[in-house]
Amino acid sequence: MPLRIGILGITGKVGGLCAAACAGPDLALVGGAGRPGTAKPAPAGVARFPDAASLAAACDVVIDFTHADLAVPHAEAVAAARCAWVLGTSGIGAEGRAAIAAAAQVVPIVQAANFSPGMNLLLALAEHLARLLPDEAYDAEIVDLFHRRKVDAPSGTAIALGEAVARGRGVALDAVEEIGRAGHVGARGPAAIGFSSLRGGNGAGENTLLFTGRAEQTVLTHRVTNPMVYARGALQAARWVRGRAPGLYGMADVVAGEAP
Amino acid sequence: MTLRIGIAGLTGQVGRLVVEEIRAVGLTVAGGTIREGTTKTIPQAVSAFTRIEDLAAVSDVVIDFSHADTTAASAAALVARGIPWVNGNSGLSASDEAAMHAAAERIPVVSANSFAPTAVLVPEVMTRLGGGLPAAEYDVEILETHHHHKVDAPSGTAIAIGKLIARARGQVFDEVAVLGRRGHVGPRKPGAIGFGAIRAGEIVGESSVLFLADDEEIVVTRRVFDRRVYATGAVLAARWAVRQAPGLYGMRDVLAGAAS
Repeated sequence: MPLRIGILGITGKVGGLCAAACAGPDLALVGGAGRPGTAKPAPAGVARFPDAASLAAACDVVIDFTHADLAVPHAEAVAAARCAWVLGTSGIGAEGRAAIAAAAQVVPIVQAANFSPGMNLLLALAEHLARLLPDEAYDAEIVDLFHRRKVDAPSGTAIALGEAVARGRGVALDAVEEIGRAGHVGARGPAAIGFSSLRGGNGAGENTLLFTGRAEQTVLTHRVTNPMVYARGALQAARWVRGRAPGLYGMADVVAGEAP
Repeated sequence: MTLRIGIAGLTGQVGRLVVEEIRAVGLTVAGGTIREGTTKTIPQAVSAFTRIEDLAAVSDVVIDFSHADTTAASAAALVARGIPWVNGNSGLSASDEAAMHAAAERIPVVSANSFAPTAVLVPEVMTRLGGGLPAAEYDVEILETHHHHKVDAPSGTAIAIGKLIARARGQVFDEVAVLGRRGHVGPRKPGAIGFGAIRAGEIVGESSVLFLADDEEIVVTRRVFDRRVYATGAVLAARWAVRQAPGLYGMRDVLAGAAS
């Protein structure tokens, strides 16, 4: 029986990509819902539901790339419908997080800031390397390169890489981070995690982590060549979450679950 | 009193680097073994012995970069004095292996083909990516760069990595490996593992694995700038070995122990 998928935020960019990526005999796109009252159209051929509750009632899984202020009603909708939830909305506050935790008692939820399967595997491996390579011998630096329209720096993924390294080293990132060096900043801190952000062109995003020792260097680079990767990852999460026990999962669980 | 480290194979290329490394980190060079009648220069201010027993008598731990044919003699001398053994000799025969295993029941032995900390960890990361990222979606290409004196291609390291990835993907390496493309080779075959070899300048060594999907790319690179890295790792192993119970260990154990 195909997995019945609904898309919250069907008029958004990633929502539209998810609808487009919903292909294959094992997937059935039931429809989507947008923000109540929005004038933006849904992609052609996708059934429009009036709200999250009615969509969740018709689906096995809903994929949600919407807005932080919808976390509470969406949590209530998926819990009431016993529908699994793949949640990619960022910036959710305390009230929303509490609602998500409550929903996770009832339904399985995969929540992630970045659904790229490759990036999530790389985050786990970055933490693993950071745990084993002594911080006094291996300098960790992170470089992110994004299109000229991006407004924040470092990128969210660069920060996630920094957090993975800090976790591996058992330190707090904000205690060791050196972000955007300029001027006479002095020598590098002995266990610092440095960040450089480059902006230009039209690339969908490249993040690099370097561990540099006195005589050797290890470099991990992740490059998005098509934002469809986020939709592909969300669908991978949707397939994975079907039939799981209630709980709050991350993409690390999804990619780890597929490794041999 | 600082740790006294003896060096078997004092006048070899790595042995000399080990002398410098021990001094650089403020430990004591206990002395080293040389072949009887050697014409090679002995590093300054280092006691040279022709018998490993004499070196064992003045050392807390011995780093051995001599030759596989001294294995049995080293094993006997170090066991007699209870001295930990960091063994970097390659090409051990079956009887050498047996002697080393027997010694490991009485003293701590760390054995490795390369003591560079990332020589073990990075191929491990590459292999985990190879297993975790499905072959149907992620093409694997391996690119290695070495100095212009090197006569064989691809490098042994590149092939070893390719074999690990093939195994992680459930493939037979010889069926999927493409070692150097030339002419009208046709489109890339699904599931292939391709190789490229660059020979240039005096580059010590560099290996990259590229995982290429329609919508994202991941590149993991390991680069060695300086052969000193082998000496650095051996000294790290020596410092670790003196705190261990008898047993046979690898660099993986040393790094895991240093991190905990």
